[in-house]
Amino acid sequence: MLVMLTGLNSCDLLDFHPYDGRFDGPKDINARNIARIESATLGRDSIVFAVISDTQRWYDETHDAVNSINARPEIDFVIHCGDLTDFSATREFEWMRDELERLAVPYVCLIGNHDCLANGPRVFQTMFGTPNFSFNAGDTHFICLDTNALEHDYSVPIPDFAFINADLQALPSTTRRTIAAMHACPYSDQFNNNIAPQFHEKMLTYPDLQFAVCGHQHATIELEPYGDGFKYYQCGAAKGRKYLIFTLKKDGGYHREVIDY
Amino acid sequence: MEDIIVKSLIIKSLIGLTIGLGFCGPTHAAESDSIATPTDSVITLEATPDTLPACSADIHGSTDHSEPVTPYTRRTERFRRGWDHLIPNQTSFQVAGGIGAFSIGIGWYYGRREQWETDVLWGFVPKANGDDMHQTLTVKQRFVPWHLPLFKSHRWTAEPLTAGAFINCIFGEGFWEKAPSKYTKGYYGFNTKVRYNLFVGQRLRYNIPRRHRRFNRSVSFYYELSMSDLYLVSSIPNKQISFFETLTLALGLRFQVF
Repeated sequence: MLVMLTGLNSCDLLDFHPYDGRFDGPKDINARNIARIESATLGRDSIVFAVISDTQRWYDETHDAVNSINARPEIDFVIHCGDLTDFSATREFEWMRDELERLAVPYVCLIGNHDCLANGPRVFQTMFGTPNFSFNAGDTHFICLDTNALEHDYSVPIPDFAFINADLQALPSTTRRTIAAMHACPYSDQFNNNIAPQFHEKMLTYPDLQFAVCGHQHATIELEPYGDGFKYYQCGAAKGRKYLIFTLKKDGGYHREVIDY
Repeated sequence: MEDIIVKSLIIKSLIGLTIGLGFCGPTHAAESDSIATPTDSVITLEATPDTLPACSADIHGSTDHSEPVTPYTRRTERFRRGWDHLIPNQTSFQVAGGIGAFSIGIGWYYGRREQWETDVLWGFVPKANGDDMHQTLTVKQRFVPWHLPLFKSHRWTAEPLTAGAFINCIFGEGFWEKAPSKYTKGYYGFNTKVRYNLFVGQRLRYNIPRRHRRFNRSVSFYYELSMSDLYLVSSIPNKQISFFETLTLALGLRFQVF
């Protein structure tokens, strides 16, 4: 018994509270992994990335998803579209992070509404980084946005146009196309739907915005929230045992694959 | 409003703790070195009323012996004895255990074999990773089936099993019991404020010899392993989350005041 206990993470065992915000291990993971992604894809004109989402409290399924992704060496990196936790409990963030750390390729995590409860946003920020971020993989710009407006009572600018404007200003000259990622898509219950049309207009100012990826509604489906043919590819919850692989081709097109695992 | 309730609860707890720690023990009541049971203590108190400190007499509500015994004095004595049961007879200090970095508490042990205990604890969760500090309040119910004297001197008592449950409430922004009205009904099927926990543990008690008693009759070291409702529902459907990863350890001291 004692041997088993000493084998455990001391910080976890002597828990101050499920929401104590204390954790060991990797922090600021998005920045670390973005550096890896950008250096590995520098100068590339074709990219393969996987999208997983809503892995909250489905650790076994996530474990299998990680194994499945690791078995596909063509994948350059993974985007997690949010809801790493169910309750925003600190230990849940650690459990999910430790599962994702098994990925052979770098990954980035977006914040989901379930990660926004209690002190979740502070833990997420320390563990992964700011809720809005962007990076470049080869000639493609990836813009990752916090869209959980309901969680912040619409008192914080979500989606943050100031961030988007600054990001547009700072685009590298090599950018040939753009991919957007978020947790909750426009016209979902979390999105600030008052400005959904303006958000779309703004996003279309990115160079050749191809499509958006999202999670939140737990089904793996194609959405067209604006009815104009612009696609939001929603990745279902880990419970459904599906993830997406996108191949961005040299000629500018892309290919989407739904993987059952 | 909530803050006022918390503050008044804390103040009440602290008053209770001060009384419990400082002024109630039968510290000067007897010369002998034998081990007192609660029954002993009561007898001793009554047998030597004039050796008691004044405040103790106030608290225990000892009657003025010059007053003749009448149905009225008998009734008021019964009334006082009834309320005497509400005086906390134990205090505790705990480290970790899912209710704060540390917590202090007052409580009651009761039952024919002193097998039941109820504690109320105030806990402190320090700042971490940009989050504010938080205060928590806990009600803990403990079952202690066995008290096994060790050695002939009866100085040490082993309590090989303690088990029970506690409910913890954390205060601060973003912690709610009933989901705010902005969410549709059932949007989140849980709450972030109140945690339900089960625990098992063990305890070792040192019975302080009478001549060395200052504030307490005994002091015990305990540890408890608990599991929170959130971790339980995470562990059950997932082989990846082992039972041991869901446990939380508490280390503590429990003082039997009288």
